[in-house]
Amino acid sequence: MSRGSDDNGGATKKEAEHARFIELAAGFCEASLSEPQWRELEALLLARPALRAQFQTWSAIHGQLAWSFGGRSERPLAPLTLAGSKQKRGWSLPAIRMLSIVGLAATVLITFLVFRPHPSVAPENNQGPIVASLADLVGEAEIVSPTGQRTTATAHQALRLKDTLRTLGEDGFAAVTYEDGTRLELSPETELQFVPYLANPDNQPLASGKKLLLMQGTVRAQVAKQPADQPLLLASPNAQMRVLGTSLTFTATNTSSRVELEEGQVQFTRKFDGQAVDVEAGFYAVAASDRPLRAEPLPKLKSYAQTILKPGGGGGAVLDPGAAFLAGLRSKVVQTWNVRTGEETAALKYHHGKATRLLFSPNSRLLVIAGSDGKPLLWNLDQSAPHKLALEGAPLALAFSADSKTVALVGKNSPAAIQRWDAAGGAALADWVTTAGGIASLAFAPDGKSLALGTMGGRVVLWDIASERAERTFAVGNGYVTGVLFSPDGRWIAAMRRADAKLMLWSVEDGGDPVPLSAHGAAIHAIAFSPDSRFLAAGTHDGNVTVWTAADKTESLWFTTHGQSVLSLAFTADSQSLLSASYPGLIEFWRMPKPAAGL
Amino acid sequence: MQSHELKQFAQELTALQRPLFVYLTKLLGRPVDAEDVLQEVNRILWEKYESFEAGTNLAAWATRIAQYEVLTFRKKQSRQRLCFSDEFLGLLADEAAVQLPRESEEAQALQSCLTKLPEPDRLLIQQRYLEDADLRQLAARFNRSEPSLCRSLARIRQTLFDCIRGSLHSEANS
Repeated sequence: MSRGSDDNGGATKKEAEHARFIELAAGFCEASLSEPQWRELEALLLARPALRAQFQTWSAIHGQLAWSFGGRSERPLAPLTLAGSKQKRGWSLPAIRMLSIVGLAATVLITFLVFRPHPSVAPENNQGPIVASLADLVGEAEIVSPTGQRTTATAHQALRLKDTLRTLGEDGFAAVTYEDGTRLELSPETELQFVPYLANPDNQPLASGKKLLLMQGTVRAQVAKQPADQPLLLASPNAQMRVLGTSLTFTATNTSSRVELEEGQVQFTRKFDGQAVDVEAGFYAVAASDRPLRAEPLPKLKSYAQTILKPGGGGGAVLDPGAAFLAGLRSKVVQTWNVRTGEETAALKYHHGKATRLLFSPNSRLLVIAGSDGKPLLWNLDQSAPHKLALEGAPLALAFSADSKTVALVGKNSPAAIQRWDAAGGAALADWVTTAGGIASLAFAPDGKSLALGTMGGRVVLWDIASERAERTFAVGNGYVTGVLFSPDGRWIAAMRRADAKLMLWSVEDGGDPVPLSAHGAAIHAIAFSPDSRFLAAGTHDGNVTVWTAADKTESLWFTTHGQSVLSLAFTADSQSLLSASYPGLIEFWRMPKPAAGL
Repeated sequence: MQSHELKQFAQELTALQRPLFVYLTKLLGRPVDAEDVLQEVNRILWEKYESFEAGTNLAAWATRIAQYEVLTFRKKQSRQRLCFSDEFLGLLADEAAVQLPRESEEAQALQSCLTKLPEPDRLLIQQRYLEDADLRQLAARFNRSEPSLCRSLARIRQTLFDCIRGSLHSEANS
């Protein structure tokens, strides 16, 4: 009894010490410790090596945050070619060395003065100066002020220093213009912050300086010529660059950043190790921890046909599996278009909140329209009135059976239950309750005997319908598996996470470890198998499409679409062409490589 | 030193800027102070760069100079700023130097962990560090008390600490 009591006492003392450590370490980071508190922290850290180790990491986090957000990493450290360039003009080596030392020290000193953050930069009334304006807006976007206040963005609105502009949903698009003609186009689901540009000796933000932090998403930038001493600074959590005047596309995800150059040249720097690479027009580079930083050529493949949908439709768009129609959301109207002629084929008013998801049935005649609020609709495209589906909560996952007779959805309110309806009449069928955990995506096997369930925990579960049991499982990564897809022959399951640039291909027959396939571009948005199950295609947020041969998992094709971000992909029935639908409303037709002789 | 050696020295020193800044922040607390000392360390390293031999450990050399410069800085600032004792700073500096090679791993883990923070927390961290804002400024901006903000920042740093530790642990075991 007394032993247990001692243990409890010890544990309580440790907890109290830890709580006190947190308080004092916070004071250390905020420079608010009094002298007795400094001594107390020192005594505590001396006495407890474990807390000292924690303090090392805690204070390292403090330093890394200060470095990353403080813009310190953008400071040039040394002119690397000084010695060589001067030597050609006949300078002696000692003079060069002296110049190097003086020059470099001066560079360091000047750049320190120039870039050092200054508390007076923040206007106390939180209304920063106007830096740019919102020229075009499609769909929804919001502006977040430095204090976290959100307002819905409107066209022609002024954008202020330290504002964050966010495009929302799959149809949010915004174009920002500066007075000098620089134009930035934000793809859907993009977050861009207008950061103070501290580039004069008084450390006051320069009205003409442009500094942008891309937290996530894709920005296409057409940058007017900038002063040589005041380049546009474009950064993400992983990378940064100085832009003097060029056209480029910059994409940021959680784990990587990518730049593609259409014109001009930039020096692209990976933040975590300071490595830099020059990227020229027609080349791209990716900053990520798991691949070398280098400039590589962009693909030159051209689409053989294009359809531009009018009027600018296509937000949140999805192609039908037969590659004949595109369904898109525009305001409160769901429309379908013929992808070859661009003509509208059907339209339906949607009065149930904001529609966010669309799904065609395999026979292309049914469409599920799901929103963040309101009940999903099941729309037979040959009829005018849709069926309302009584789903519990906003939809997480939706799928049709291969014969298009059943539609299945998972709602947020009961994420382990699969609710089903008869697709012909909208009558509710019995639910399937799984033990897979929260379901984030699902797909029916072509033979109708099993389901692939993508879970919120980063796994894919192969679930047998007859026995209502999980048969096998494979891991995809951490977090929601946002898409799963069976190949039409049922031999493969492809699984994706929306933020990743990799997808997993798993052999249903072999059941071994899934094979990761790395897509060109960042953040996969859409995947599709060809009807002959030979090809698997993935389209990314920054407009790239990668095609692999499923059997040997090799890359067969890579191209860049001319739209902003790839929304949907579909192969033609003969598997010889791939259609890409990219924002805003551009359909492109791409020819697939012919099989090698003997295959 | 040959020009290619100078180039290598400059490249290595450039790559060391972030680890050195973090190292100095660990000892000094205030990023602005770390920045001041880092500039001085850079100046000294450039003055002495001819004695650097390519292939030797620049990080170890730089941290030795940095440690000395922290003590010098402390002496200059002693009337204005409070700090740890010289002896304890020496202990912290030695331990921080051992951890220097892991800095880039931690920095990568931190980037990933930042994206997992709830949005209000991420915003608070951004505002705190974007301008090196002090508690008074932040409190006015967020209309909150300074102790409450300090607690929030401490909680967020602890969340990041747990996330980084988990991330590095799982990488080590994979």
